[in-house]
Amino acid sequence: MRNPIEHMPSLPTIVSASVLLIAVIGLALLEPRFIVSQNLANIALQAAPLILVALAQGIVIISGGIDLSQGAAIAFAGIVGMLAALASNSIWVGWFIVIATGVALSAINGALVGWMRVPAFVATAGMLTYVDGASFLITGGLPIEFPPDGYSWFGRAFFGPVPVAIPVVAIISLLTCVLMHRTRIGRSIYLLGDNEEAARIVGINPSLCRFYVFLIAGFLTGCASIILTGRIDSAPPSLSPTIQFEAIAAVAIGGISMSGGHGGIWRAIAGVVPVAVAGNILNLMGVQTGAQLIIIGGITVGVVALQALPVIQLKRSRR
Amino acid sequence: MSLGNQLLFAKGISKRFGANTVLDNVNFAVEAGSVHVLMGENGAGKSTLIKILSGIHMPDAGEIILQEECVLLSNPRIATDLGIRVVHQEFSLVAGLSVAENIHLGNQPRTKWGWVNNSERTESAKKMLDLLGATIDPDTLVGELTVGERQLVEIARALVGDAKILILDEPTAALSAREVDHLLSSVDRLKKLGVGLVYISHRMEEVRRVGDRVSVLRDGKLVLESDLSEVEDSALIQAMIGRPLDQQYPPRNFDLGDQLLEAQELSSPGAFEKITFSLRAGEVLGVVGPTGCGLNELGRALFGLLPTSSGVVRLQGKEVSLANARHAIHAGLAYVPDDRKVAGLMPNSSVKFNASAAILRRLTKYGQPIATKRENLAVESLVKQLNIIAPSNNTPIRLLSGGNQQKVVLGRWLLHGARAFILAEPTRGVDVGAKEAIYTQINGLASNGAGVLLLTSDLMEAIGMCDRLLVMQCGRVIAELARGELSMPTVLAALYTQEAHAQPH
Repeated sequence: MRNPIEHMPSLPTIVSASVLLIAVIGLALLEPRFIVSQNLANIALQAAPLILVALAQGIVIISGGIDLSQGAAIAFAGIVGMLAALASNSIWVGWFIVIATGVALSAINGALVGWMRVPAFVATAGMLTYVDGASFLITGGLPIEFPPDGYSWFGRAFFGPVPVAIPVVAIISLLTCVLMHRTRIGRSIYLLGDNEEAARIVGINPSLCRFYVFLIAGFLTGCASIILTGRIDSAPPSLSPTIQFEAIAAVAIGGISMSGGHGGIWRAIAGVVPVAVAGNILNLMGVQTGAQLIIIGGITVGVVALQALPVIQLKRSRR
Repeated sequence: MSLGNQLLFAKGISKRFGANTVLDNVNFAVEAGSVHVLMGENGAGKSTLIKILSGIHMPDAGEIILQEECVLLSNPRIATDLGIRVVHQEFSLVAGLSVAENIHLGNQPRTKWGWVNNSERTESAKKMLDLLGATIDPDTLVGELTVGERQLVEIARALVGDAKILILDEPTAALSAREVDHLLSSVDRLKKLGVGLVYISHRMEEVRRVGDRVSVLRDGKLVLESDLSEVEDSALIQAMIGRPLDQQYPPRNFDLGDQLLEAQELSSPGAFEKITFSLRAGEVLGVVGPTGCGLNELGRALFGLLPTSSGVVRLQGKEVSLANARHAIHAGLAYVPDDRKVAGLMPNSSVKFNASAAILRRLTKYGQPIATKRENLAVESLVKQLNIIAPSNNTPIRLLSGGNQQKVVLGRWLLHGARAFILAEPTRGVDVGAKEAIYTQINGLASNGAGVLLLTSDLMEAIGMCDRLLVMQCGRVIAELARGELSMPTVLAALYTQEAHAQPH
């Protein structure tokens, strides 16, 4: 006996994927400059840090939480790291400090959410606010600039036509997929996000598990910060203030359940692609920023609504 | 039965859910000023019948005649407006609101300006409570009431407006003896006022006291309908379970081994006090008691899920840490929680993930990949062993039937190879076939030298399955019955006659 609901998740994914594909191909035909290899590399470079942030957001969402502090944490880690690189005159120290800062900030989130039982929404919104404040205090509102030579390698260097960031992000993505789908911690995160009480009964420590979730997320956002600051060779206090919302949008478009517990982590990457591609094409077509935001916001909500549609219809027909 | 008295007649009601026939051509009548008792095992179709009478489900076949008029109860609002009211098992009161506010929840009397009319609300609430002979101040917060008083407020709420038919779904499940007494006299008062009552209960004594007629459902069929005065207890039980007890529960040999699990003076504030028991290898030790007696809390505490204030638990002589579930699992304990949906299942995760959840540690060393092949093999053999029916092992477990879900929840501990099993209501909401599979597993565990602590509110199950039985009341063990003493009358006697002594009033 085949159960129709079991096959549900694939259907909306196919629907939304094909709608997106058609839209993108259509836009590409309208705008021939899109398929130039230099532009494709450009898109990939644009998308690379967002992929890392979306992976981080995806893991947090799968565990049943949310992280609103990513943009602020990325800017702060970038600032602290670049200051450290300047002070020590070592790019290695700088990079290490960026990652360490990302992990440390996220660890605070993890401790608050895991042990203090502060709702993730509140803990990370607070983090967003005070880390943002700290960034502005440290920098006085001006970007930190002129890092040591080579510091911006991850954001600016190329292997031939391929930006360095692409293989780096590809490798990190692969490792993240392995972590989430092939290891015990990854499995525990899924079980926890699905039902905390039941996870506790099979021996998972929910507090510790949530803490790990944020540590992993912090590492990924730290990596994103290195690429983002490298790309512009400076660390401004407002580096990417809304990237967490783009990441949430990507996670939702990719089809990871917003209530946690299921949806492959690769979906976060799949969700970044349409956002990045649509943004690029609109740019090439010279659509102004305001209109771009409206279109991308519309796509996000539209795709997610489309994914829910068949389920709603099914529920109605069963009554 | 004079037809003039008949308020409601449900005729030839059938209902199927998927491939499952839940109700099969059932007739059910309610007369004014009379109590019609509805009995049957869990899953016999009682709740479905009630949901149909209250407009939550539509029947697939049959009709409902209310005061000689055929009605279509397509949603709960219609049934409520027609005067069919249900008091459900679960409390639905808001603790932070007053009694009067709760009684008029969603139905507040208004002044002509549209404001809530407080004085009228209080007055009307008082009137409803008076009908029940309850002396509760309508301005008290519900949070300050006892469980028994809350139950009366629930009933008062159901009486607002013109209540013709009142359905009480196990209204005494959570009440003490004195509160039960009070509730039953309220039922008597309503009966005299001409309300038609449907009373669902497993408790023979109550049924005898308030009931006029009785209907027994089994596997969705009406198997007995009679005046209560014309039917013996034994006939009712026979009708409910459909076969003698010893056939329902598979036989087992009762060779007991060494001391396995023991608890000494285990206490958890507000839940239970000074519980002492010992479970031997190969033994099935039952614990029974009414809802709220601390039964499920005991299970949770033994598995490190509920803090204890004093006492020791030992497994094979070694003290078990009760700090968290991981320690309990590591020591060799297993736990099947009483509420599968809340605590047993990861609903969106696959059958495989649910089954292997407790052995992940063994399938991997920290940070290293999970041994997928071993995991698949283990789960496949479990599915075969327990005859778990699922489209595939990757199907989300929420799509399985309750019985198959429960087999997975139990099965994960078989994979783990635990020594002592704490099973809380392992067959609640499970169909007959799965029940048998679970009983067979329990027996298999015992004969392989494991110990089983069976926490259950199903007395038949306790009598049929257990070597020994502890009876709990108000957080304490009040009686212990040996295998030879296990029969319905002795268990009921232990449960209810001693309750009077347990209550100081």
